[in-house]
Amino acid sequence: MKPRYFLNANGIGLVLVLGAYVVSVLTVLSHPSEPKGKDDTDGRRIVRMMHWQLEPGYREALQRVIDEYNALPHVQEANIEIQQLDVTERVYSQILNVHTVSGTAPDLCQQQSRSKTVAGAGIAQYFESVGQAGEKPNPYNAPPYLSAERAASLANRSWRETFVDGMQAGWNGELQDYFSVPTSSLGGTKIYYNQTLMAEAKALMRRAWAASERPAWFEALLLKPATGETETGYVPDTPALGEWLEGDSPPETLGQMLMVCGAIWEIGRLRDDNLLVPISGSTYSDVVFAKRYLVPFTSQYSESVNLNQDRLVSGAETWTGWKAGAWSFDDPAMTAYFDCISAICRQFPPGFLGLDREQARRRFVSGHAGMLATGLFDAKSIFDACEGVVVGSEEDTPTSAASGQEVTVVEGVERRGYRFSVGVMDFPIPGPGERWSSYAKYPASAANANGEGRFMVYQRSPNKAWALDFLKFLTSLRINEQFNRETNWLPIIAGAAPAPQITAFAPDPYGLAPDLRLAPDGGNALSMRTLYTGQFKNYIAGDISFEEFKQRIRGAAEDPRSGVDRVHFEAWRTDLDRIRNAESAIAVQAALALLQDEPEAGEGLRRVVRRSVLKHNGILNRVYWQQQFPDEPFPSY
Amino acid sequence: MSSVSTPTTLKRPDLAPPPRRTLRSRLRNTGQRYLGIYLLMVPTIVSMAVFSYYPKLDVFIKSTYRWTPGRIEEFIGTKHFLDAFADPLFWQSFRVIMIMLIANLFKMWPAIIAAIALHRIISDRWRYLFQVSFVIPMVIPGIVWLLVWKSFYDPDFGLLNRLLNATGAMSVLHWLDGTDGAPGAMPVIASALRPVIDGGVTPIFGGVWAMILLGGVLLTLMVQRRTDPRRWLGYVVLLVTAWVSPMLGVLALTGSTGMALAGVGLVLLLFGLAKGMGSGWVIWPFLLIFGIWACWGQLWRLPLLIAAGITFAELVYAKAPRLTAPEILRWSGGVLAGGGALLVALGMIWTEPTNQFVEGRPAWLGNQDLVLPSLILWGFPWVSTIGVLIYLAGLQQIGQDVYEAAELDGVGPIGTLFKIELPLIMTQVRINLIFMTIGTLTGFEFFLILLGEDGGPGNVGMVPGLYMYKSAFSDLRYGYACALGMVLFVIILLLTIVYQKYVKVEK
Repeated sequence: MKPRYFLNANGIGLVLVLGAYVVSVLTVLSHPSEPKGKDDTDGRRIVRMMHWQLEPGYREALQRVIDEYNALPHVQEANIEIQQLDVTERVYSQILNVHTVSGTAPDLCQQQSRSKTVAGAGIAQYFESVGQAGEKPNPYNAPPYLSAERAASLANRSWRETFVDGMQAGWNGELQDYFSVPTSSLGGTKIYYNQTLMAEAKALMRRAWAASERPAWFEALLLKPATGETETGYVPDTPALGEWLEGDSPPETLGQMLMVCGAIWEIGRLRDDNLLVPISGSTYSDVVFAKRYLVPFTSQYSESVNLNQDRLVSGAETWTGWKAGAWSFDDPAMTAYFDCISAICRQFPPGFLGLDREQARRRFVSGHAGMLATGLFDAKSIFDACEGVVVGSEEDTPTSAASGQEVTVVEGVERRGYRFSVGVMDFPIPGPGERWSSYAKYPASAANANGEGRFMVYQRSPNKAWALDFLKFLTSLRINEQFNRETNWLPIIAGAAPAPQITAFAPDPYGLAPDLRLAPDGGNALSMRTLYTGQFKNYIAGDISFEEFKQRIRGAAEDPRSGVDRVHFEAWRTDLDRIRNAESAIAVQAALALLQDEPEAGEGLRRVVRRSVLKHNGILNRVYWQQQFPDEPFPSY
Repeated sequence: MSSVSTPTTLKRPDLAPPPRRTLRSRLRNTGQRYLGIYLLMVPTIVSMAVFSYYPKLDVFIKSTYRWTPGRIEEFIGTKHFLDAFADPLFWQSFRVIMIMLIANLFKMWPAIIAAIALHRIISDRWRYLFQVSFVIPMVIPGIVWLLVWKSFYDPDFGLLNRLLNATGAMSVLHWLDGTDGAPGAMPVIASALRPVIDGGVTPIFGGVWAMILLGGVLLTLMVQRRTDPRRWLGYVVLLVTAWVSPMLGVLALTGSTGMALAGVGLVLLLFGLAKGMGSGWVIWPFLLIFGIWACWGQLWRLPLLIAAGITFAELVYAKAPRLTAPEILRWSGGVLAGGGALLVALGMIWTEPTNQFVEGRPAWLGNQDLVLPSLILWGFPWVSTIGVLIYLAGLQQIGQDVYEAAELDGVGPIGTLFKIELPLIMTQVRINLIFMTIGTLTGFEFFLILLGEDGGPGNVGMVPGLYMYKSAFSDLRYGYACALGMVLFVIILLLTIVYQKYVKVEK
């Protein structure tokens, strides 16, 4: 007799598979879409803080602040606990995008400009405005959290006013409101230099300068009058040069910096050390130098190119200006800029385009390079690796003591693992009479160096008030100073003193802004940005001449479908998208104002409407085009 | 005398006609028998539909939208495809990927040879040990593997340059390359071949690539030899397609309507090609695409070259003995394609010194001339674990009797490789070929990590997968990235059909 259907193997398999499938589906469906905000074990409310700062010391410093906050009596009473979630930078934006959209983001999230989902007006969909909170004083800037003396100037000020940048880093221009709270300042990018090697280079140049017959390598560094089209050398042979060579100061002008580079090449030759290079360049450093020197050389164009006369020149404005003839690659200033960048990149190691930031850092700390251009975020690791740790300090752990590293006395202080002292200097501009000095007279201003480490409060968090409270704690004077001294970052709160070795990173507002944006902005530029970047790298690596570079870029810019016209068209379309987003925000703010009678909603509504009106439905872009090219219809695709 | 026998009347057995089975009863019977099996498949089918097919369908739909998730969603029809076809970077990325694809064809060989070597080890224990040793590298995460190789390429501290300097290979490379002042062997050979290319090949064929195209046409006609009269229809359609397809390309770039018309025209032509050229038609679109590229600037040459190829093949088949004709075509096609490839290799690639080897510190990933060689060299000696295991599985299916028969026939070890083993593992070769093609065409992580999202200096390492990734996640043009993905999908599909058709075990 045949076995009954449900008793055979197929039936059992079916039941197992369907059962497993149903259980899986039910598990997924029963997963709470709202974050609970509570630890199931003991009912404690967990406030999670997600960030991507994995630099040495950051997590530890933040944890100390968290521990201190968690121990506060009112926090204990409310059974609140802050926890940090550190995520690698490479995947941070994807994690942030996915969790914000799916409603499972942590209560506090660090803002990352790469995460476009929470950029622009889109941020209001997922994160809370902190504009209103910024109007009130920060309770942690008052006694008993702060001594009466230090609290005197801050206790009654609005939270926003206590920030060095007025919380500008959290400002959203499209929504005309504040959406994140900065916790540190990174200042500008600077040049770290090996003091030992710098002194050696200057000593070598001093000897060469004083010699009756100067060596050829030194002569090549001295500026010669232009013969034909090309200038050679960098610094004129004047008494000022001799004065600088006699002293101990690092290079004060671009010419002097390039002379030091020449001397370091010579040291390498004398030592038969072909690994030694003047600047530890990488595919990251070229961009750093290119950006820093673009301002001094091209700021002069900004007035004629900045069509909407705002605070920066966009890629579309830059290239529309090129098409209109406001600037060209043949202008002496542009030629000088590219010549200057090429001269700087020649001081990089061969094949620097194949090296990443980490490889460049490693070369510098191992003493195979004279200089390294990077930001404050690398300061701690560079200082620790080059100067070692002070014997007996907190960082001199038993592990480092047992590592067998030599102890060196440096300026009366015992240091373990000392290699050389590190100095920090700004990007110098050409001095008077030096090569390129007629085109670059002032440095780039760092006035726009806003706060960093910006945190946002997630709109669907059940612990919004506590998340905001912790941000207030973190940005109170005492805590912010302590936190940033430990991380070796610059504090963001007025009156907080940074660690002594990083004071050089304080942003210097003196100088020029803005510049041209030669590599047009990502999404607006289609393939043109990529082509520009690729050819620019070819040029600075010396693989193509400036003429070839110009020709290739011109070809890309003149392409009817992906060139300049398209860049302008896409900028117009982006404006339209922004207006649509602003209109969505208007609808939300209007509904809030109507239904919830929230005063801040009314204010928000007015701000967004103003912003939307100013954009004129994107018509300005078309007007600019008409003004620049009266005979050409606005491009369409 | 005749006896007439009374015929016996056979009585039809009194059998009632079988009862007519109703549809319901048939369904019930079938259902009882198969329902369980079908139901067992339901979870898999539903999961595949939801998690595999729906996203792919959505990619197609989204390719017609200007789309940034959560922010912009606007239907724009075929505009992304128009942008893709006019995008110089996208086409440049195909040039790179074609080079990588050809290089990867050669890079498949070490795995085949390793598998055969493993298969021939007599001792089971040793074979097992070697098999395990091939599997162990699989546990190293891919990203670690990539970073290790990246450090090999470091000009100053990398292993590769040290190895080349220590073994003297760097001097050989310098001898081949030279400097601007004293060009090495390769630039000298290239300059010596220049008169041959400019004075001989170009006037006759229109260029070296066009010469290779003609060779390819002859070889294809040799493989697809057809005698039925329908082939004339195929030839006509082929020539019309060669003539019209560039115009269809121009028409497609005029706008959505033009693109739709061009698409319909192309489909009709391909349909005609399939009818006329038989089951092997699928190679012709590739030859035509290659031909358009090879004859760019002189597109009138394309139908002429194909017509010349067809005429030559028909004449050979008409005049030469039946067994000799294919050999004539094989040799003439081989000489043209092989000679062309040799001219490309020696006369058109290393034409100028890179000046990279003179100091013994070539910048493998930092110089536009060395980026592609570095990418090709990556992973040396190219013995992929998965590949070896797949080939080994195929080799283990070859019966011992086949080897014994070969031995009796006096076939040596090399003969066994080419006459027994390789032909019998063609199914496995095809599988690896398909995996390799899909991986090469869609892969981007390797290029992203080694060269960055712009594809390195001069964008020389920009491949379609990387361009797609960059469009989506860097430029936030998700819709455009979907359109690029659709173009890739079509190409991969056609290539897979080609492999299915031409790479197989001969029965």
